Amino acid sequence: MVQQKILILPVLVMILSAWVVPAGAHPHIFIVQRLDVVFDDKGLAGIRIRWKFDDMFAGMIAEDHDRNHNGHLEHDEVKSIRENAFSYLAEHNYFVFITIGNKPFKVNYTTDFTATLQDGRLEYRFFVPCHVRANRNVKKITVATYDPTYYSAIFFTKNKPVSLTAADACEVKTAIREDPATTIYYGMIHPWTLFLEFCLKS
Amino acid sequence: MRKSIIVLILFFVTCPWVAPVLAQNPFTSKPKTQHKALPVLVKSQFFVKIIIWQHQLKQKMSELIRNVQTTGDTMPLLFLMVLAFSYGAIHAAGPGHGKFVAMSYVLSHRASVMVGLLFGTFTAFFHGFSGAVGVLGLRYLLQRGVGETLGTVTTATQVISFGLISLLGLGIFLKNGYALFSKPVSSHHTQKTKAFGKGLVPWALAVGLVPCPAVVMVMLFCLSMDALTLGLVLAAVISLGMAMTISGVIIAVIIGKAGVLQTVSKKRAKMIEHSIGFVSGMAIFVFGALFFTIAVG
Repeated sequence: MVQQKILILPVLVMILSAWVVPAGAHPHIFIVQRLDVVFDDKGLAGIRIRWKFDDMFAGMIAEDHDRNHNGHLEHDEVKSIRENAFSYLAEHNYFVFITIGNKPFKVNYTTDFTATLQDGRLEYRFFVPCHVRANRNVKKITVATYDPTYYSAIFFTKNKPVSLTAADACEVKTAIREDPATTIYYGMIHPWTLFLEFCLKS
Repeated sequence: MRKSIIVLILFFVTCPWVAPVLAQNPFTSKPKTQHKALPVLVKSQFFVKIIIWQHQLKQKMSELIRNVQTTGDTMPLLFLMVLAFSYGAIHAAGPGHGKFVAMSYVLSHRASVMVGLLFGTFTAFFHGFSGAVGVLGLRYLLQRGVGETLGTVTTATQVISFGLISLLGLGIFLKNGYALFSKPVSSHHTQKTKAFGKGLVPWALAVGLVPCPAVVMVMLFCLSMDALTLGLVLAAVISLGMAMTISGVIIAVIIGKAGVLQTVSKKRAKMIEHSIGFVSGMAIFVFGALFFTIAVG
């Protein structure tokens, strides 16, 4: 009888694990990112994003787009990457999910896209315009970067994950932490999010 | 009534295995479907750890491949093989990789542990090597961009794979449905279920036909380093790691099923066996057909 109970155990484990396991296989692409919060004379201008990819995805992109195989990306190769290995992200909000005062901000387009390949390491850089006028009231912005399909995982770099540009006129606070209000991948992942607060200096 | 309840419970138990198999690379292909987060009963930071381990394993592997290729030093090869095996084993623990269909199939057949082992191994090797062959075919035969074309190849193999799977599921569903709901025949005339094993290779092929993205990326990376042989060896070792996980799941199901059936009378065991087969067949057919429709559309 004891033996029979032991034999039943694997079935119960399988049934339970069926609800739990869907975390293992994905993701396939790993990205380490840096965000640069860019201000102008009116307030927030947008977010400049740098994504450094894992070497294997870099190899895949290089294989297809570094046509002369010189280990560097020329202008037409960058254009090819933008058209064939970046623009589709529009379907996914470019993986950039911004809220302004708890209201979602749709990322319809990005600017200044460029891609570099150095020693087999691939980096994308692009700018997400997001204008928020600064005044005496504190503006609260969140910037979560994640792939909703979880084919890719995005981490902040440990060294200087966030920087500020032209923020002299503003008081700015930044923090990076998991956002419990957002969940992906079967509710198991809270994306790491930039929490940004700013107002004009008094 | 009792049969219907068992059937319903089993159906809902099997559902979560199949949801996320249609993931496409969002960078290089327009997704036909987006993942939708499903509720889970248990959340665990352990799974986040698995993701981080995969990242670390992948980075370490690429460093070692680069090291082997640029310095010619063969010492790191053994460590590289261990990493590749671990990566395959961890990678296959998640959704896809044919576990659901393989499980359902052995549930609906009398399979031995050896058959489970072979089924898992064949599935993993077909899954891994369809990725490797796909990369080589695209690069050397068709001379096409792999990243861009792989989405099309994946979709084509998904159409074939899901089509075959749904047909096989329909067969299991009808066979067990007939046995379950038709009037029982006397035990004297009851046919003994034959031990499963003959149709193993076509089934494993149908299940493992869709290229494994993990193997594809490793192959591409090796090709970018002019390391074709190393790429093929790594594809084999990753497949071996996947085989361990997939076979482990299948064998656990085979042992568990045998354990459950031992606890009940022969008559009830027969009923449970056909119920499992009926539900598994229904689930395979429904989801196979659903994914087939999505892949075709």
